[in-house]
Amino acid sequence: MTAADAGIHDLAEDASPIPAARTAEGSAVAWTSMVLAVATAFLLVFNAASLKSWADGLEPGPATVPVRGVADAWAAQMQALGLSAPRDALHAGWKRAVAVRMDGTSGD
Amino acid sequence: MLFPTLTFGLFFLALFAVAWAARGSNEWRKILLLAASWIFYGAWDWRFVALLIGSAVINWALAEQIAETPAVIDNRRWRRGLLIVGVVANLAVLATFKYCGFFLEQVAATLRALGWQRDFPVLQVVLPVGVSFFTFQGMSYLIDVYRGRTAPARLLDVTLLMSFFAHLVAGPIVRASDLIPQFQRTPRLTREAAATGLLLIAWGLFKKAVIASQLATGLVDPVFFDPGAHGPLDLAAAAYGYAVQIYCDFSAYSDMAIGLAALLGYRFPRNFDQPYRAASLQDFWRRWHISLSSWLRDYLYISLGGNRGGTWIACRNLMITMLLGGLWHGASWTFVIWGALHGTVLAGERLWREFKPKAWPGLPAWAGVLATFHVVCLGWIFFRAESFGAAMAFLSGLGGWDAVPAALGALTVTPLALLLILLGLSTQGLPPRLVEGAGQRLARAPAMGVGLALGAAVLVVTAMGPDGVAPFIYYQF
Repeated sequence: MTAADAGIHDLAEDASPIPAARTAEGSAVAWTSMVLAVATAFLLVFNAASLKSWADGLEPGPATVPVRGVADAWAAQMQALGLSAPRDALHAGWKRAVAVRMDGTSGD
Repeated sequence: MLFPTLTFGLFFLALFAVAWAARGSNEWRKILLLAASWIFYGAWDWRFVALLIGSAVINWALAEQIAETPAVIDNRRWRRGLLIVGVVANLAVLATFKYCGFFLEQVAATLRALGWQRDFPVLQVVLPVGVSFFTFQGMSYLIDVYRGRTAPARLLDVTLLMSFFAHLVAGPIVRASDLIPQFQRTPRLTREAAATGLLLIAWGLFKKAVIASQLATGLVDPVFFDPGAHGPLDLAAAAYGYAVQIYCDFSAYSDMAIGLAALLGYRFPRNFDQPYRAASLQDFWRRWHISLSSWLRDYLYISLGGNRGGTWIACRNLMITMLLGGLWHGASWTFVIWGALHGTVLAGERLWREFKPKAWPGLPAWAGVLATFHVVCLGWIFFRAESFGAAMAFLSGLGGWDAVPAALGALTVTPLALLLILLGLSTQGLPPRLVEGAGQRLARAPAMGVGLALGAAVLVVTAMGPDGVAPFIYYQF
């Protein structure tokens, strides 16, 4: 048996958390692509603040200025539609939890 | 380019699309992965891409020479000589970038102690990210070819083995025998593998961006920065906090590396297996950084003689292995002490098993878990401290209960930090292989639902995580 024949089963079944592929699944790539596309779209809509924050961190230059403009406009649009509210609420709640001291007071 | 960043997310999405579009030609696919890996590594410093390529070429060429020389008695010295050249070349890379400054400092300190005052040149060598990982990977390939445990591979496969972005900077140290056979055939993806990979990525993101980052910034960093300014409650919380932080940080990287590789059709070995439920230090090392501990066992401990030669020789070998394992993490006495502590306790456990009177009862499992965890925490104090003096100040402060602050509000530890410590520790009590089981169930769900769940999980992580993500702890090694 050559190494190529041995294929991915060379790594013992239990040695990896990833199950070994016994047969090829043509649809798995399409399924995964769909998952990634939906997750990306979801985050674009509900997590536009992260996109804006990322764009703001880009080194200023001719290529990044338009990216920042688009990210800012997109984030503003999502906020106007109220779609950033869940993230903002979660973020604010988390910050409050971070600030609580052992005596129950807020460190802010 | 850090895993939990949008830059990396965009990089990976593009690579995922291109890699699967190119699956008709495995060779082109590997070339694409190689180019992407170099872009990933070059994002830190382009100069070190040349080091990575040079290291791969040297290991490949020497392995070719070893494999082409028949393993007969007449050739034994030649083959061994090639192996030694290769191991020395790999160690020279490590010595140059990682240990040169440390050893010069020690020589200067020794000479000063002897009364010979002299200014030594200060070496400011930039440490290539992940240098310890890819040099160990190269060495294991060379030694495996020498031992006949793996067949020599083509230059493209060896270069990809050492450069593959998923494990390049912080492991797992994937052996050639595990990965090269996967490179030699067109990878396959199943929904189970993809679902498990996605779960590992999401879980890794949570552990890194929420638990590890918050514990680092809110508790561990300020307390370890100035242990003398904190009372025993804060010090104890920071010691436990660091145990959770380093586990959540490093295992998160491993989980994400395994998940990302899975989405590209490759299987990496498990690197963590609920280490804090270990009932002995020997058990701990079967669960913590498994790819390093098995590397040290196979290439160092066994090469030193392993268990052959009796109990005392085995103890000596354990000690040497752990001291060098400590030094692998960094050129500092604190890492040496960390290794010495682990070596001493491992040797002690071995002697206990060997010489314990039969009539004496064994330690209950819960007591073993508790004792092991606290030995590990003690080691982490040296591992995390900036210097030996800072570690000793930390330890002496732990005993200073007269310095307990009267006001709870003055403590650095917060209810959230305590909650995160408990959360991190509670993951050790979960049923083993929980993620794998969940991955199998998730694979049966429609893509739309899984995508929405994944998006929601990442949203929660980004809302709870810090504004910027600190590099993974193991990047520095």
